[in-house]
Amino acid sequence: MKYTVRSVEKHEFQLPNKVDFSSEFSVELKGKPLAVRILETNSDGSLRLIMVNNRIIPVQVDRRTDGLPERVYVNGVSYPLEIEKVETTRFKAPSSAKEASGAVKADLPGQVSSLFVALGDEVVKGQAIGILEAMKMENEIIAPRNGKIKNIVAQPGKAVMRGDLLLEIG
Amino acid sequence: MFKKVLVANRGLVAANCVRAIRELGAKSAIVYETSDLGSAAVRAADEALEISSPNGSTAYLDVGAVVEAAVRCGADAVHPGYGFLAKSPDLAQRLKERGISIITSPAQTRAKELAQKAGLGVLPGSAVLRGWSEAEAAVTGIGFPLVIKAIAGYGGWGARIVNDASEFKPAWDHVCKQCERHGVAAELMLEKHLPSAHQVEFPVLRDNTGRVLVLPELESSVQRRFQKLLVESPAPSLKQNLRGKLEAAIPALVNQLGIVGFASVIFQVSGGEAYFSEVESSIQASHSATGLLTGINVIREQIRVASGEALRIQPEQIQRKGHVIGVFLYAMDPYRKFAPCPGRIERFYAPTGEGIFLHSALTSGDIVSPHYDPNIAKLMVLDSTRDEAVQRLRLALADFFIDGIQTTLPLMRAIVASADFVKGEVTTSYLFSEERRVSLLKSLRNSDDDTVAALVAALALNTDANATQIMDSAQHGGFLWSMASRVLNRKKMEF
Repeated sequence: MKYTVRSVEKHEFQLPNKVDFSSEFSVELKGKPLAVRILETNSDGSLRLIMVNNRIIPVQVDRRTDGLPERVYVNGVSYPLEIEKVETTRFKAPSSAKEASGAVKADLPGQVSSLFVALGDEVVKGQAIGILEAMKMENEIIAPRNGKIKNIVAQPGKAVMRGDLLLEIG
Repeated sequence: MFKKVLVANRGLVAANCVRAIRELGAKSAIVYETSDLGSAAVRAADEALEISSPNGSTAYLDVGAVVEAAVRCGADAVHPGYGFLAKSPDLAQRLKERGISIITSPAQTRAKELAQKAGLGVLPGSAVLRGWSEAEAAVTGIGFPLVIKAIAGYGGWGARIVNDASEFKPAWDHVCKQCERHGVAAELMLEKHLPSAHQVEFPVLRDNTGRVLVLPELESSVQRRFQKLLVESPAPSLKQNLRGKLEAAIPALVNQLGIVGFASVIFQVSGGEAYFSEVESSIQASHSATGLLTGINVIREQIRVASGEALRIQPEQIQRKGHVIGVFLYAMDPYRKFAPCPGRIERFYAPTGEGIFLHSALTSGDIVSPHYDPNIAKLMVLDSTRDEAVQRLRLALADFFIDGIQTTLPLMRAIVASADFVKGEVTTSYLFSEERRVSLLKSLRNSDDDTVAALVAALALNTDANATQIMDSAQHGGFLWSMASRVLNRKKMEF
């Protein structure tokens, strides 16, 4: 398969259709061959340690909610990226992305310590609408889009888990 | 010496206390909340007593439960480490009533006044304030910018910078509310804030005969919102004659305060002058850097003198073995404005080698809890000179990798590699600006790793079970999957 990936720079390269974890394979990038081996994966199958041209590199992959990789950490350093194009003989185009959802969910487990908005308030994208406290630190809850507060689920002082619905913007 | 000491804390500081108690030949006991049962500190203790609270995380702050546990196990002393409990007057009082010693000293709210008497330059500040009207009255003598500090606070908790009058009331209310939520008294102090100052602190030990031992100073200028990220000694910002002056004046202050045990005397250094800020009377996380530099186990000496023994170390016996730098690592994501990152540590690849010391109570597979402080490890290096220590630290940080959670590791790499740090010019305001954080993190990127990142992304897609499913269920034919025009979920990603 051919991939076009934009990280800080733009990269185009070809990978085998199914990567074999057990052996080394070669990828040509900007005219230079890279010898690649996967050394370790996490329990969920995600990559953890790879070898590129005899250099061992710990890596982590951050995925978007739909599972596509959106950021790769190379030895802890973040590289944001976009997979611009994948060319294959059989590949289904996923349904197009929706507009940012109005559901505001807890980014991390913690406790909602305060909410700055009430039902019916108009908010704008990026506005701080409350505070979620975790590890004794305060983290702003940010409005993902413009709209009106149509539902408030979170109660100040109550513990929330990651992914819990806090409030909804209509 | 005490016969049995109960440790009322968790994590690395608790493990260090347990170890010191055992080294002294006393029995160690520890309280734990269920989720900490398998932790390093609990495993190391001779005896472990469960305490619980309706919501789990507050068990360690439950004074009644800690006192009850101390009585139950027959401890003659309690070591609360640092944090809210160590500063709780209630705990000190209730232990006293039971005839149990506490190995820490109360908050030193009169320190500024006494420092002035001891001949030290002092940062303008207020007495303990209770309520907005007292705060309003106190501010005139101090001026802006200033810092609001909660008496019960520690490690950056409950401290807030106020740049001008308009920020004062909201900031005051904010810190008061924070105190309320954590069940500590809303007793606050104000202090003049010196922008671009260095922070230097002197750890001290004092026994009950009044002998004071001033240990080598630590510079702790690299911090974020008062949370220390790095300490080193000798302090690059301290000139030899100023060091001598401070070392000479500190014993009088500590004697006036009447502390028996450990304290840290904290100064802000600016324009070649040192201004006394406060005395922190709990043990500090930086004790291990002092230990590495001098060979003195600070917690052990703290327990010794608290039990009534005299200090045995003579000032002339204190020797610096070189230059020490200690990095405090936190489970916070520098790429996401330091959002806390609790979670499971998949793999912990720690650096090792000559002059490299790692203190951590965590290992691969451990869970970093959302309920507690985010500190996960202290990485320290010792070398002959500062330049060599910086180089050693730089490589040690590069070889350190923690998988599963995000940590402040990349930021620390960037700071240690920066020209400002190499020159010893980092001040407490260094990380105030967002631009600095962003540019530090960007400085870590390079073209080779950019290539690796792109490759890994493609590999992740290629080896992903879901992607395979999409591919398998797809119809045959030439498809072009273009994501360029899609609205990407940018919430998590800043740059």
